[in-house]
Amino acid sequence: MARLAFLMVFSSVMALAHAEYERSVPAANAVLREKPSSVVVYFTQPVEVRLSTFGVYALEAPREAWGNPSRLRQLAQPLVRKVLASRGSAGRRVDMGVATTARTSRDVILRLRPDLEPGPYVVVWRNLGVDGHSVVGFFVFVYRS
Amino acid sequence: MPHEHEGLQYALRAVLYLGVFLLLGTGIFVRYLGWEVARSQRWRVWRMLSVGFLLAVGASLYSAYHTVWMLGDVGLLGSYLLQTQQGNLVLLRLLVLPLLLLLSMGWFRWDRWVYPPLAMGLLLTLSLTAHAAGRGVVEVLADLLHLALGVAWGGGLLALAALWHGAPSEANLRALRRIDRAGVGLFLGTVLLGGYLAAVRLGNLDGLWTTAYGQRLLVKLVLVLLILLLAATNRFWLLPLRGAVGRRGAYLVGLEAVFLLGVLGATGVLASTEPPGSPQAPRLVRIAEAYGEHRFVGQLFSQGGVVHLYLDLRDGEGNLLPAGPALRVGLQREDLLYEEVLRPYHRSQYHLAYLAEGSGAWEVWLELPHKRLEYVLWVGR
Repeated sequence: MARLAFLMVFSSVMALAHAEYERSVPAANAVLREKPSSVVVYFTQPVEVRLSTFGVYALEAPREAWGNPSRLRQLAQPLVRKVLASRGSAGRRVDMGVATTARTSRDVILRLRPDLEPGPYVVVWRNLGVDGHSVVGFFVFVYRS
Repeated sequence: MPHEHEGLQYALRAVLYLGVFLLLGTGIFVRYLGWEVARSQRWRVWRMLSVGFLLAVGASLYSAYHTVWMLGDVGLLGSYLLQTQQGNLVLLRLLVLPLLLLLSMGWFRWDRWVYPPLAMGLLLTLSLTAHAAGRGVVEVLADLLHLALGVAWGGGLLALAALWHGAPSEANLRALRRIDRAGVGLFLGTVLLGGYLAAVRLGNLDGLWTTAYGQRLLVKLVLVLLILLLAATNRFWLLPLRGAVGRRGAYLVGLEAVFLLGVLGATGVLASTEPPGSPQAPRLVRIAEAYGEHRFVGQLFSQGGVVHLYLDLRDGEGNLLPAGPALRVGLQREDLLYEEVLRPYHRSQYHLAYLAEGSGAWEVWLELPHKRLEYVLWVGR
């Protein structure tokens, strides 16, 4: 457990190349009691916001899996593949688009719909870093009222 | 995520560098290093400039197309060029390239003031679309200067090698002397700045042989050393031999140019290889665990994106046992999880090789019969 905590702490300060996931609000695997109004994803390098794909999707998962981040991530993988293959048009999307107006930015804000229901959600992206490389990623959080 | 079509990305970047080196290097050669050689071979100079221009334009356009193709929709090409910083830089490059082609021959009286800033502008479009782009002003400036010094020296050398045949020997000798004189400072500056960039991108010296980026950088360093050796031969052996410079000179300068092409190829590969960054965990862990009267000894390490575990179970005198128990081993990073039951491949010796899909810190655990060992291992590419 201590080892895992150590891993989670320093994985947030890793100095990786390309625009990798650095941290987010809500955090990856977070369980929220209050309804979030937005998601902010911070990357290790600026990304080209207008040509990158971002989205927040409702994840269909049994209630007993909500407290198990590893299981939720496994359940999310088919959805992530489908979403990326369709450039964001698959799945039940719950965000209202990217609110970041800058062309390049290290942090990207996604506004969420006000009628968000309790359940697990997946934040998915295929970014285009300013170094010309594209990185795919996702994380899961749970809104439990 | 591993890059799609890595080979094509390497080739495009290498062709872009080659085109820019030919165009700018020939331009610099015509103006500052070998104007006598250039005057005697105007058509050849023009052909070299045109080839450099076409390679740079072609590689820029195809890279833009390839980027949007990788994003999943080639219809985004217009948006990419107009709405992204990278696309704007590609457009700027496409604007600057024909101007540089026009000014390279030195036809206009006023162009001496325009050529250097335009050339730096072109090189800036390379720095701002490569690894340096997301890493701050200092790295961009270092990358820009590294390129500029490299182009002035290496590009000039490429031009001399291509124009050697057919030019008067005296003109070749004078050009070689000028390149040699300027070369010490230019080469030293290029190498020092390259060393700085390598240091910040690798994080530590281990990365030079434990990561793919470092190993590719080593190839480039070997080629640079060979060029240095040839340059020293030119300086201390060829240049004093005034009468014999023709045939030997063509051979040595040509060989230098061939190695320089290798350096450009290696640079193209490096520009498309993910630098490993600063490791936040060890890349090598030594294992030594007592097990009754026996002992587990071995190493867990990562090299070029592959995690290796070498483990032996030995008796008190250091000998292998006739057999060993099955051990469970697991690796995890975020949602990537791999588990395997490891059995001895020979007596009580174990080996695991796992190709890690993601760079960064991996949690590794090893279940020995009497206890569970847990490590955090840094895996870079």
